[in-house]
Amino acid sequence: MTDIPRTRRGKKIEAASSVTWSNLSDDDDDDNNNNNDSTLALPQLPEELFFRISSFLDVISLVDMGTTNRYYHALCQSNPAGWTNLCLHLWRTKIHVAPEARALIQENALEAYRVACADATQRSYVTKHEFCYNPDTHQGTVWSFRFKESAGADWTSVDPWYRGLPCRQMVFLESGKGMQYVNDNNNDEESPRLLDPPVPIAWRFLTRPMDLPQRPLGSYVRFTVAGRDVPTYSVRRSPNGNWGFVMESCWGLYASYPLPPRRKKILRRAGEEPTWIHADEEESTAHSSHDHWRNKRIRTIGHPHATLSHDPLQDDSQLLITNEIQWREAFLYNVGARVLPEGDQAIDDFDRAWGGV
Amino acid sequence: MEDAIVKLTSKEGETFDVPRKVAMMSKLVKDTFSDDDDEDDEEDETEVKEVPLPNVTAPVLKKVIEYCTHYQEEEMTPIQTPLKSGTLDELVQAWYANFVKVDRNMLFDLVAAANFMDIKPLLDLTCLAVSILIKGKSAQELRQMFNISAELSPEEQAEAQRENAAAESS
Repeated sequence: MTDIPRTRRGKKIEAASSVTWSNLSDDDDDDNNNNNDSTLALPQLPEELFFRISSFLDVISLVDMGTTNRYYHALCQSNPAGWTNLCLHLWRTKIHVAPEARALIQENALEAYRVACADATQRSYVTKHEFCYNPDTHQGTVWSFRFKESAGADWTSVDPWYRGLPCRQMVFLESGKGMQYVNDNNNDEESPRLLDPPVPIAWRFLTRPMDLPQRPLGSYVRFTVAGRDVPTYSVRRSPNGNWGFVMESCWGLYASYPLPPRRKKILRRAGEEPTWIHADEEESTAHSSHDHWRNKRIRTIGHPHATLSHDPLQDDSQLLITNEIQWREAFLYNVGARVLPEGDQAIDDFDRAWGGV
Repeated sequence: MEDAIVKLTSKEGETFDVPRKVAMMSKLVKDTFSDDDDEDDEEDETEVKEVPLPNVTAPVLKKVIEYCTHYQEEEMTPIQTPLKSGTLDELVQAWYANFVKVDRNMLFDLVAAANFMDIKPLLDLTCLAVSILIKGKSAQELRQMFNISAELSPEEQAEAQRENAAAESS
């Protein structure tokens, strides 16, 4: 009979009736009874069975399994181990997925997964392809828009989002024109439709607005509305993790996906933190000692449109571009400028012209 | 005809009488029947079919039969990816979650038997159970649990750690 292999510590591996891969392991003390009458162990399962098992694993577990040894490393990197489905399931929940990643999936799904994740975390500017909309193919992004509170009541009072209605939606054509996107859901033919906005809107990319640092093309968008430049919109990835984009100026916000409905701010009594409740809950907040508890409870209700339980875009509290940051452009717009200059030189010119503003 | 019996014979030669409907959950068994369809119509209803299963030991076969028998009373919830939960109790009914609470050797034997006998729901359940064993374990724990020897070179080790970091950041 074959010698029964011993572990490094000299312990006999119990009841090994034949030498199998599992018995050859001389790492680790084997004081478990794992090898008792084992007719089969994980390494002896045929590949298809291993893949069936691995198809249930999440990304981390699959990668960890691949770090056990060279055989599993190779196995766990292959498409059938589950990477194709992991890609598809993840991407189904995301707004934009890098086309290079999609192209890779058949050949090497693990690499496709990596490329997509790397792109989503490292690239925070938008490509023209992602930004624009093609009215013939209906491919491209439909942007949702709302004003920020800082725009002032003149604007927010006519903004549907502030009344709890869905946002205005816009698309931007490659030609440089902005169009309204209307999706009535009427039973009649052509929904959705593109309409000319009430006033003409033009768009272009720029790389160095006056108040913000130089960034690659696709990081900043200049809109010209009714012939007047409005403060630059700065592009970044959506803070809610859905791989979408948001673009933000001191007064407005766009998202490349439907914006979550509004969360209304209720100012509590003096000396207390303002609390946030859902717009619908307003009537029910009574001024009683139970308020604090009730508001706390309401605060955590998940919202159907929010990806997280509190979507960062449901209010302005987590937006970044303030009036203080975009002060030069905001100032120029307010004093009636039609054109907002850009580039390093423009800042010097501004500071010279407006001195101690 | 409802009471028709099939004899399943384990590796050791032990025979189990199983109602036909139960046994037919195994595509392997099912296929041995359809192989006979071309033969004469003289009824083999009284003749009891015997199917040898040389790859399946008696204890494992007992469990398989137990599964298929219960399945007639309560069909198992189909298992689909992506999984809605990480715990068995939330994915299948209680009886099935308990069914796979067996020692690791038996679990692997069940995987192999379900594969050999071609019983899809049992295969799904047992593979899922193994995957749950894998989840959340470090490489070292996995090696210990499955008795895998570590052969990863330091370079491969480092590369794997990088993959891990990338995966985690997604």
